[in-house]
Formats: sequence, structure tokens, C-alpha cells
Amino acid sequence: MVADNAHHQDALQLNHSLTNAALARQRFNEAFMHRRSQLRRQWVIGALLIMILIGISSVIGEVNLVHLWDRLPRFTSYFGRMVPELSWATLWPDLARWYWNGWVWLAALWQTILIAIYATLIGIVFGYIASFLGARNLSPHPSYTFFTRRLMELARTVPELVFAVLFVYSFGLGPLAGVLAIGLHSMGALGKLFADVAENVDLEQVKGVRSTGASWSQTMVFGVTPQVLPDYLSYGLLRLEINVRAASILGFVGAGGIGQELYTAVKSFNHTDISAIVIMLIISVIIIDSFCSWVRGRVIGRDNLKAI
Amino acid sequence: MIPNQVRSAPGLLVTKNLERRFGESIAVSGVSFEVPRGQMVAIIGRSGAGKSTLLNLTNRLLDPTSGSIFYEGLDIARLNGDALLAWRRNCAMIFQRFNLVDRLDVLTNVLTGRLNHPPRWPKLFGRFSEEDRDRAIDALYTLGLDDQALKRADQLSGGQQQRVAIARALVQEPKIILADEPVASLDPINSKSVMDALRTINQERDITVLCNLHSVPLAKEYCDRIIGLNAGKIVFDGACADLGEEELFEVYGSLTALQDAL
Amino acid sequence: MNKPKLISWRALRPELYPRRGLAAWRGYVVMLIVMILFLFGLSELEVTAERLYKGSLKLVDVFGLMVPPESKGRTAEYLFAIAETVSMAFLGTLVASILAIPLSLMGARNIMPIGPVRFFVRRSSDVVRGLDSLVWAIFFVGVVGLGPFAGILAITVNDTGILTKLYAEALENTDAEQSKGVRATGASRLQTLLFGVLPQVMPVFLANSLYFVESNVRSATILGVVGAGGIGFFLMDRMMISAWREVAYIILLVLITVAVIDTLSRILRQRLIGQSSIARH
Repeated sequence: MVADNAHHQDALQLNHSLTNAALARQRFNEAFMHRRSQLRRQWVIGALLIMILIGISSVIGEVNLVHLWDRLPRFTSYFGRMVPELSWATLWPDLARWYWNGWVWLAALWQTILIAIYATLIGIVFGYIASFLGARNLSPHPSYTFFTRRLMELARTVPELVFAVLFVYSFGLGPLAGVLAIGLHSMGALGKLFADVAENVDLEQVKGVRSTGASWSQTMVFGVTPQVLPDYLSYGLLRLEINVRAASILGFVGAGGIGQELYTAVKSFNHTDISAIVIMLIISVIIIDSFCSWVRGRVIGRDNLKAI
Repeated sequence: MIPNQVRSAPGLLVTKNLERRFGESIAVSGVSFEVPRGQMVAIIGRSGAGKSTLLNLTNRLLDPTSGSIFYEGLDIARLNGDALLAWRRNCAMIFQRFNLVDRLDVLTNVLTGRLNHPPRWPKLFGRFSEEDRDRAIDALYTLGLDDQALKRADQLSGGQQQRVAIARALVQEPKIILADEPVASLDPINSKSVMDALRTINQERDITVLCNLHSVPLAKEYCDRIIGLNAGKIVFDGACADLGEEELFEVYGSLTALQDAL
Repeated sequence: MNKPKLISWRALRPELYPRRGLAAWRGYVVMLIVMILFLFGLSELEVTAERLYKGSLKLVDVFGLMVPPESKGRTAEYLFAIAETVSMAFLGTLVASILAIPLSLMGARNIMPIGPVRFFVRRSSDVVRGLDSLVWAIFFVGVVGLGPFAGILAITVNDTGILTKLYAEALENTDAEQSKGVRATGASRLQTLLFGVLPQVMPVFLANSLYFVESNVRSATILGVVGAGGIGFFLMDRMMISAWREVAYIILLVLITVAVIDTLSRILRQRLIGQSSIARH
């Protein structure tokens, strides 16, 4: 009898725990399904939104793929006209004819690169200083942060070409306007990137320097700069790459560089001139990009800093 | 607050009713004590009792919400600008996590202790004077680390880093050294060498030392005087010998906390 | 009180001191050469103190002329042009992001074993991004005519080049251990790609693309100068006739638009990047 009872108890208990398990599984399934349908709904809404945006943009943007298809032959004829007549037999004279103005273009290209280098230097130096004022955790006062960030936004939103026109008007034609225009724009772009990096520094290290009685600027130099320098340099080099491209079109508005030559070639429909200049541009861009990548590799690898 | 109302002997640190709130919570309150020059004081208490806050109030990394603090009659809470920076130089701090600049080498880290000494401008460009370097290397030598001078700070062990921090404090030529849990992150052997260094500096150079410690035996072994904090208030202030079981319980409040500290 | 006597360590530990004598002079000479090169560059760029001074004065005058900004009733026109610009940036970046995915896979060292294919893809992307989008805009205006469509194509082409390189670099920087783990379960190459590599890079792809939408709205503002649609046309036009107050007004509109888009982009980035870490069903 007793054994029967015990058996009965066990069976009850087993039943009990089985139902518990079943209950738990059921609850989990419900939650899972609910979450799944929730996610699915979010994806659907998201996809729908994007579709709508694409639709609106296509209308405003006058997208016409049929038109594009029709014009495709123009594409190729355009390219065709840009390719000069080259044959193996007369290679050197052909090349000489293609690059009839080669030395002028080379000089202009050199100026373009110089513009980019000086503008990037301006951007790095002033961006460096501005970054500490614009970093919420480092700035001497929140109002400094606000004004610095707004100024940087202004500098990087106004297109470089617009600054260039402004500066050509003020400083006259020539590369000076270009350097200032790209420099100002770079200061805004780099300042923001630098400030974002600076907001992520280890504040304990900074506190250590501050506790010695160091002034604000000394603290920035010794406590913050060592932490951010590799990132700053990396962004600075990236900016150089971008600035070379920007400098190449400044000549459109008279701010120096190869842009002027390119503009002339386009306006006078000298298609072989266009291709000659474009090729020079692309080669220099590739060289500079490779150089910058190499330096960036060394800079991020070499994590070591000393006092002078 | 007229300074003349406060006793101002050379090297005397005085606090009166020091209080610091963080929003609703009170970190320290009603803290009053006097520390004569050259004394080595241990501050003990549970975590959150206000030990770090007290130290940070002393060198003005935090400002008091009320109350006052005087050194040689000088109102510390009212200091601003260059005077404040000069005070921080005089009140060197050592942190639990060393707070060195990881990417800089040991020597430069120690040199940062000279930043508030003139000339200040060349230092922004990394140009330290010959004398600064002499002092820095000397301090490193005293702590047995001169051969590590060119290594990156984060390449050193915990005990070594803390001694670099002590070297940095030394070259500040401070009147007071504030040590915030200096050995909490170190093993017993390194703890001993760091505490020995602090005690030696205290005795040989007559520099006042205020030391937050989480270990009561350590406090009794190295310090002349013990201040016990509980929930931001001083519940014990006297010689090591006077710290008995009753007093300890006052400070720590519970047996578990007490056991951790012994 | 014991004040320790100061001794000089220079003799004992010279490596801890700045170099003196000949070595120091070398340093000074290097600095001098750099200075000279710097000044030489400045002269090549026709920079003189006089020009800087006179120009700054004139610039201050111009800024004075910009206040207060004036719309001359053209707000609707401007807003539509800005909408054009935003559409150009949006579509251009979107298409470029989609195109860049297969291209970057073909250009990544750890995914595409065939060297020449990689080389071709990477060099083409170098060429395509070597030219400013403005140059491409000129080209496409020549192909499809004036209007924002040319701008969209220009941005698409330029960005495809940029994003292909960025994506390929991200792919090459993925943690090989994670994809090896997937491979070890017996997954095929394609499955390893889908489940081992892509989940790692998706956040990076998304973050980059969103950043580029922001960036492109800014740079697309200028394409209108060559007739490729957008606010650039009006901006240049007003500048050429020195209507500074209207220029200021247009810039203000652009600033507000950019601020709105930046905020939206940030919210989106937080939500999307946060979501992608949720396990897929």
C-alpha cells in the first residue's frame, strides 16, 4: 500500500514537472514568435520606407534609365574621341603630340599637389587645436565646445569651391585662395574627426598629468596627445588624399592648380587634352594614395612617443 | 573667512567642517582635522566611505560644497588660476591605478611632474631643462628604476609603475603627498616596497603623507596616525595604538567589511 | 629638513639627455632645411604677407555684406534645389553601396584568390575615385544632358570606387579566426562567406555608407555648378553677381538641411548597428 502511494507520489511529481516544462516551452515559443514577428514588421517597415525614398528621389532626380541606355553609345564615342592616335611605329612623336603642353600641365599639377599639402597642414594644425576645445570631456567650458563644434560644422559644410570663389574675390586669383579654401574646409572636417577621437581618451591618464599642477594646455599636450596622435595622423593623411582631388578642380574658379587647364580643355573640346590631363591626375593620385597608405601603416604600427 | 582665525604654523594642514555632496548623496561631511608637517597619516574606511573624495578635495581635483581647508593659513578652497595650479604641484597625488601616460616613456612621465615649474612655455614643446632632467633621473635612481627610463610606461609591472608615479610626485618637490589606495592593485612584495618608499620619503624629506589604505595592518605598520571614515564622517582620529576592536567596528560598521580590511 | 643635492646625470646616462655638439647641430640643420622648403613652397603658391593682410580686410568686408541673409522670395526654388541635392546624394550612395559589395568581394585578398582579377578591380577603383565627382559630373552632363540625373551618375560612379576600396579593406581586416570557426563546422566557401565574414563587416559597411550619405550631401551641393542639378547652380550664380546676402541665405538653408540629415543618420546608425548584433532567427 505504502509502496503504491510512493509510486503514486512519484508519478504525480513527474507529471507536475512535465507540465511545468511544457508550460515553460510554450511561454518561450510565444515570446519567440512575438519577437520574430516584431522584427519582421520592423524590417518590412524599413524596406517600405527605403522604397518610398527611392521613389521620391528618382522622381526629383529625374532618373531615366531608358535615356541612359539610349545615350550609351555617346559614352563610348566620348571615350573614343579622348583616345589619341597612337601607333607603335610612331610612338614617341605621337606621345609628344598628345602631351604637347606637358610641361605646363606638369607645373600646374605640381602646384595642385602643393596646394593640397599646405591646405592639409593648415587643417591638421588648426584642427588639432580646435579638437580639444570641441571635446566635451576636455574643453575648459561647455560654451567653448558649443561654439567650436558649430564653427567646425560651418567650415566643413560650405563646399570648398564656394570658399574658393569667396577667397578669389578677396585675395585675388591664384593658388593662395585655393590653399585657404581647402585649408578652412579641412580644419572643419579634421576638427570634428579629431574631437570625436579626443572624446574617447582614457581620462585617468589625463587626471594623472593634471594632478601635477599642469595647466590646461600642458595637460592636453602630455596627457591627451600621446593617446590620440596615431589616430590624428591617420585622419590627416586620409585628408591629404581627399585634398589632392579637391585641389584639382579649384582651377575652375581661378584658385590655382591643374583645374584651370582642365577647364580650358573641356570648354574648347580638346578631348585628347582632357585625357592627357586626366591620366596625369590619376597617376599622381595613385602615387600619393600609396604613399599615404604606407605612412599610415607605419604610424599606426609604431605606437611609441618620446619627449624631444 | 579670515585666515587669521585659523592656526597657521609652517606646514600645517587644517580642515574645518569640510563637506562634499554629489546631488543628493553626501560623500564627506563635518570633516575637521589638523595635520602637522611631516606626519604620515593613514585614512581607513570601507569603500565609499569618502576616502578618495577627501584626498581629491585636498588637492582641489574636487571642490568642497561647504567647509574650508587651509594650508599654512592659505585658503585652499578659494584658490584660482596659477595659484591653484601651484597648489596642485605642492600637493602631489599617487593613484591606485598609477595614472601614468601609457604611451609615453618612463622618463617623460616623471618629467610631467616638473610642468608647473618655470619655464612653462618650452615644456609645451617637450623641452625640459637640464636641471629638470637631473631631478627626474635622480628620483628614478632613488626608486631603483633608472634603467627603465626609456621604456614605455605600460611595459612596466604594476609595482614599477607605481614607483614611477612616486618619482613623478617627488620631482614636483611637494609639501604633501596624497596617496589614494597606492597598493590596492599590487601584490604583497610590491606593496611593501611602495610603502617603504613612501615612509622613507616621509621621514627623510619631511614631506607630509596622507595615505588611503584598505588594509589596517598596513596602516598600523607604516603610519603615525590613523583617521577612520565611516559614511563621510570621521569616527576615529588618533594614534595607531589607540585603534582597538571597538574603534575598528565604528569605522567599518560590519564584520565582513572588517574582515576584508584585516 | 633634508634637501638632496642635485647632481648631473649627463655623464653617467647620456642617452637620457638631448644630444649636444655635432649631433645637435645635425638636428638644427634639418629643421632649417624644412623651414626653407616650407618658405619656398609658400613663394611657389604666391603667398605674400601683403596679400594675406589686404585679402583679410576685404574678406571681413564681404562678411559684413552677408548680414542679414536675404531670400528675395526664392525660398521655394532653393528648397527644391536642395531636395534635388539630397536625392542625388541618397540615390548615388545607395547604388554605389550595392555595387561595391560584389566588387569589394572581388577585390579582397582573403576572398578572391585570383590575383589579376583583384588587381583589375582595385586599380579600376583607384582610377574611378582618383577624379573628383565634379569631373565625373562634367562627363555625365555630356552624356545624359543637364539635370540631376548626371549628378546621380557622377556620385554613383565616384562612390563605387571609394566604397569598393573601403569595403575591401574592411574585408581584409576581418578576424580570420571567426571565419575559420565557421569553416570548421563543414560549411562550404559560400556559407563561410555568408556566416563567417559578412556578419563582421556588415556594421562597418553600414556605418561607412551612412557616413557617406552625410558627406555626399555636402559635396553634392557643388555639382550644380556644372549643370548637374542641385543647389550648386544657384549658389554659384548668386556669388558671381556678388549678391552676398542671398549667398548667406542659401548657405544657411544648406546648413539646416545638413544638420537634419546628420541627426537622422546618427539615429539610424545607432538603431541599425545595435540591431545587427541581435541573433538572426
